[in-house]
Amino acid sequence: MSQPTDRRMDRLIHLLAENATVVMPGPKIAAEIGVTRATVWAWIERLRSLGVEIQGYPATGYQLRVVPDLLTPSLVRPELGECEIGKKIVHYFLTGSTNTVAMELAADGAPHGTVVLAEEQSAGRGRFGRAWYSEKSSGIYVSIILRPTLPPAAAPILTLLAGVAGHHAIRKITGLVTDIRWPNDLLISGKKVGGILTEMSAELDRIHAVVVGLGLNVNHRSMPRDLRSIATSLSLEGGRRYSRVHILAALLKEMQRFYLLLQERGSAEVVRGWESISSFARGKRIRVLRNSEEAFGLTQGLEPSGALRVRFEDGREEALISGEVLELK
Amino acid sequence: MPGKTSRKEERQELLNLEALREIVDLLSERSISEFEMEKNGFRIRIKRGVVLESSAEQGMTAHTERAATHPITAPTTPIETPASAKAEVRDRAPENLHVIRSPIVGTFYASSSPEAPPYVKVGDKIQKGQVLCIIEAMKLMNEIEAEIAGEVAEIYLQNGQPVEYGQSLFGIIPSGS
Repeated sequence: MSQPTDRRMDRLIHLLAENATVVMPGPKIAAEIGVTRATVWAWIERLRSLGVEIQGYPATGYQLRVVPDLLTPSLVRPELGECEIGKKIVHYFLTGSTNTVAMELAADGAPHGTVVLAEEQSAGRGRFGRAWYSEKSSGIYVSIILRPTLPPAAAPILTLLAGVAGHHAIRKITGLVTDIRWPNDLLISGKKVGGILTEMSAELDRIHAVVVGLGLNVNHRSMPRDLRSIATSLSLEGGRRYSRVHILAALLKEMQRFYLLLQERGSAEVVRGWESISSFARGKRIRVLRNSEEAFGLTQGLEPSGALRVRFEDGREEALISGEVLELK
Repeated sequence: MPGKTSRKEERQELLNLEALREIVDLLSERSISEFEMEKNGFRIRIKRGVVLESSAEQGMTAHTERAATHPITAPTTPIETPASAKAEVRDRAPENLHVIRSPIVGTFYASSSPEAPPYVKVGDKIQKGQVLCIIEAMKLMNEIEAEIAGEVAEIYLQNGQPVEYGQSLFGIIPSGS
């Protein structure tokens, strides 16, 4: 499988970004990052193929035209300050799935707050092996390793937390207001802009690690035909391009903020936050799909666990833990 | 998107529920404490009360053959009577079994996707750390791993079934026992 981005390549990007006002001679770059001139040339070509605008001047060197919107550690970390989530960043230009990588890193002992990023996923996935369309450098494909001290039975609230953090991050950077469909799909005008897949490795009484994977459609100029009716991007909704670096940094900071609130005060803040954002919290007519069975009901708010209270048509009330929730129009 | 339930499937589901009720009634009537059957990839296992292995309690334990060897064509196929089940008292004492339990309330999934084969089947040899199933709650996918190496002797749940905290998922015969 693919390798994480070479640290020296990240330094090349950083060097060009820091010296964006001048032309950097090839040999100087090669010496500073410790590779041959041929490698510098090859990497510059690679970056150009990813849409990074680098001007080449024969016999003088290279200059960045625009600081690229890549999610490499050297470009993301300065935006994070003291944030514990994102202290360690593993970046890929291409990988199968950031969640798979993060689960493997977690099993190998990666610390709490480790973040795995990819510009492109060849096997981005949602629940039950469903695919997540992961266009190159247009979306944010991120997985966060958490090592909470919660009992495993309380872990599902983390999935709602991720949705709430995503909502706030998007609003802060773009001004766009996302709805949250239970438990955590991020929607704009009823279409999905963000999906979250959370995986846990745990024993009966102890969590080893939780990996929160988030796919966010940011600068997609169009969605594939078969997704157009159900998915959109921030750019399509807001009518402009957005800085992925800024949205990602805001997301990691919001995750950190709500994670601390959860650890300190329990699930109440997350539940309250979710209920204030989501149109699905109360009085929403929904269709519930479970195990290929269908039921209709009305939402009645969240349980402290994050379960969705539903009054079904037959009068039965239930706190929903699993199942697909769809709006009934 | 999950597939829609066809009318035919719905009818079959109802039929199964009806048949299930009949089976349960029959089991109680004849004091059969354990029952298992498989039909069209649908497997059902019913346990009532405590299974006693002592010979003094003959007749309390029934164990039907796997569908693979004796296909059951209709749910109303006669169930072995306690008398004929005597010779078939389970050869594996339950105390040998290492039971793997669910750390969360959720839904049991036997495979990673609806199209994928199940992670494990009864009789499979498994390694410590091997993924056995997924328990899902609020889109948190909890991969349940084998705590020990051994052989899968029991799978207590069907795909898509709800699970309580601490509920038994698998019975494993530890390696070397």
